Amino acid sequence: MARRLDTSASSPRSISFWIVVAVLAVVDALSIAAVPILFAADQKALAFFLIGAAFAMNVVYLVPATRASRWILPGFIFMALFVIWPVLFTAYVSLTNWATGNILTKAQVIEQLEEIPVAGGDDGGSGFLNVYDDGTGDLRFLITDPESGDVYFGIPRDKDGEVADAATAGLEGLDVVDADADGTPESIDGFELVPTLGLFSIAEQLGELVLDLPNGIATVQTVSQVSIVQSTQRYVYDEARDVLIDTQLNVECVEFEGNFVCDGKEVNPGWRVVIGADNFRDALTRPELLKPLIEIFTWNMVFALGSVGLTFALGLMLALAIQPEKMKGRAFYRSVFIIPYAIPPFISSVVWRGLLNTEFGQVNDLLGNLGASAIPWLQDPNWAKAAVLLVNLWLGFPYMFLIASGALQSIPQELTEAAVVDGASARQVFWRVTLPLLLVSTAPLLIGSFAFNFNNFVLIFILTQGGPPVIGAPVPYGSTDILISFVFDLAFSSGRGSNFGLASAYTILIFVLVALFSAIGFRASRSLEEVYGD
Amino acid sequence: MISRRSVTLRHIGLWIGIFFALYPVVWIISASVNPVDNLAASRLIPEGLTLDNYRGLFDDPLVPFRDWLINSWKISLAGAIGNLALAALAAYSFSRLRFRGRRAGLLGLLLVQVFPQFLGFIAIFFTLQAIGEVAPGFGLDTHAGLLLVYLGGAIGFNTYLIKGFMDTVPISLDEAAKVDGASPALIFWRVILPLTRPVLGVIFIITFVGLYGELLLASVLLRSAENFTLAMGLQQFSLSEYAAKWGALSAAAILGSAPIVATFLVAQKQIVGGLTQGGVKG
Repeated sequence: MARRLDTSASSPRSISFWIVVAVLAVVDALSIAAVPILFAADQKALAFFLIGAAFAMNVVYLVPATRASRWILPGFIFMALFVIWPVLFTAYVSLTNWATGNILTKAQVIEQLEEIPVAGGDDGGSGFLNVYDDGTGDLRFLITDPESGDVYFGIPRDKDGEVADAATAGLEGLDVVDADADGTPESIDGFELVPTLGLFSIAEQLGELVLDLPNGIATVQTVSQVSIVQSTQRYVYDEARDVLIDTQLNVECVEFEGNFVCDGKEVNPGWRVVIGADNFRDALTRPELLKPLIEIFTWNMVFALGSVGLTFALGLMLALAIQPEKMKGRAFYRSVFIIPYAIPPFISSVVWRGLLNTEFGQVNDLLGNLGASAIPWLQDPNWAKAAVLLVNLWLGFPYMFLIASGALQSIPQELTEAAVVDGASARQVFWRVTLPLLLVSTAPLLIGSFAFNFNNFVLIFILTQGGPPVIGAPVPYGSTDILISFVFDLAFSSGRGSNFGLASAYTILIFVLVALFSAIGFRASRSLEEVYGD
Repeated sequence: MISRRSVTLRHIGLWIGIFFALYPVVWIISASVNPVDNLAASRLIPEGLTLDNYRGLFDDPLVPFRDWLINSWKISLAGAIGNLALAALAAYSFSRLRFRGRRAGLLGLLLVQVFPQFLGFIAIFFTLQAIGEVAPGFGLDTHAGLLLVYLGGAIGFNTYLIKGFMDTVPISLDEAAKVDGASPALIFWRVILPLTRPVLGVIFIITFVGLYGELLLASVLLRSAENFTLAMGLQQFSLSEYAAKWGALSAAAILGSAPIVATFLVAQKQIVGGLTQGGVKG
């Protein structure tokens, strides 16, 4: 037995072995406890994941042949659940109609619909009340509906209390004693009939009680009378034929793409259902969605390319400026330039938002002193774009300064000197020798910076929220929205509800674009060599 | 050789750069000690000095700034430690053990990190919602849940980076330890970790800063104001009354960034090296 259990090369039954066993025991116990709950809550995917993860842990930590996996498994479990699974799940959501109004499952929707009463209802009937008592003050109501002759027996509840189990209709199966045969039993199930006189002493208490009936509610009016409100459910689901019957309008409703449809009208709420590639088709062909997408994508590219270009240009200029050995104070300049980079971008963005305020902001104050009129930085579509680029220049130039300084040092001096000997001017040396070499060595980082800025959510979300908004657009978006901020609003913070299906479709489009950029980046970098290096 | 005139011009250019770099910094430092709280009254040299803006941050019941700051530190510290631990374990096996599927695993890691985790935010929201139905302590609007999500990004680029550094530790050291009877676990703890500690420190800081500034997933997963991270809190705060409470906002900006700026300045060389290599941020 012990021979089959690997103990990481230390002696059998070492402390580490027992620690592993103890941890596995806890993991297994928790999993065994959680799996039935997950199934009960209809979280099958999560349940299977848990079973798989627990099983993998047991195998990996108890079977000797899996040496390497034990080092990777802990991280892999988290990656599987929160990186790989979300990608697959996003793809699934993108094929559904999952949105406000279609959030629930079909079973939940039917359950909700069947609770809706017929409008108006049947009110005002009154019934007779008899009260029973077991001697301890525990009460039971017997209610007779004179119109239908139905009787109900059950436990009354407080008016404001929660709905209890409905009273049973009829007295079958109960221990009924009606000695004088007047139709009013003297005793039911051990509860004795309270005589009318006795009722007045508890009249106040009775007035607060109601009895839930199978299809309605009985409210105490006087000590011997109740008012009965019958409410019949409006929708009845016929499981065999999978149709919903509207008893009020007397029509049958059939399912269409996640909603029951009666006479061409959708019943709300609907449920989520796979609708195929409709979201993608809508996003790419419906003009009212395509126009925003093209505008947002164009600005997204301009923003990302512009940010890389501007930050690289400024960073390189500063790096070139301090490059000559004659320049003093390099360490000082370097330390100052690192500051914008060190401040967390969310904080800088909040601060710039204030500085760029049109009325009170310091930037407009400064420009005002120079004679310029106030600029509507965050209100005008074009100025907002300029503001976003300006702030991103501030956020990003230190990084480019740092990589440009490093790359400049790695350019062999012989090359530039040789060019000078050949009669090249300083300008020619820069454009023909230095810059091309620099671009080659920094290309992977520039592409990385582009990919980062392509999804630079923090800056946009804080500085402009994508605004100023485009008025009258069928989907909410603004002039500085990039894809990721647009999708975020679509899914979570738009005033027009959430459209998870469509948002996921856009997310998949971003995934494709990002993969494309990375493919270009991998080509430029040499990451792959590391994989195949040994 | 460059001329003296060129040197002067270069210094002038560099000082323009410094003006640009420090412009917002100087303004918020000044606003944070300005007795007049609003944006309109902001002066470069305030009339009088006060620490009220800082003090106010901690006892304004409507703006739980202290909670936000503590939340951010708590989540980022725990997240960075967890991330580093998971990444280092995986990196060790890729660097030291030879097993079937090693190359495929490395390539897989590289491919997975092509897709930024935050892009899956809609699915992550539903996943955490589902977890919350069974284990409410790890569901939506909990820090534990957010942390689990952050751990998902642990093995990816960091593993790759750490593996690279572990590769530079001579394998003869492992072999010597093995001869002395050390298990792989012991070699990892006693040989590899101590020798890669400086690098792990840098990666820890970079990961911490990354989590500290994470806004998208936190915004999707956290709901109640007292659970917000600093990034979320300031974002919300800046939407509402920032112009009237410019002093408070500036103080918050300084308290929120000072420790990180200080760390960057002290460990400049190492951090810059790590960042420009990894391209984690920027």
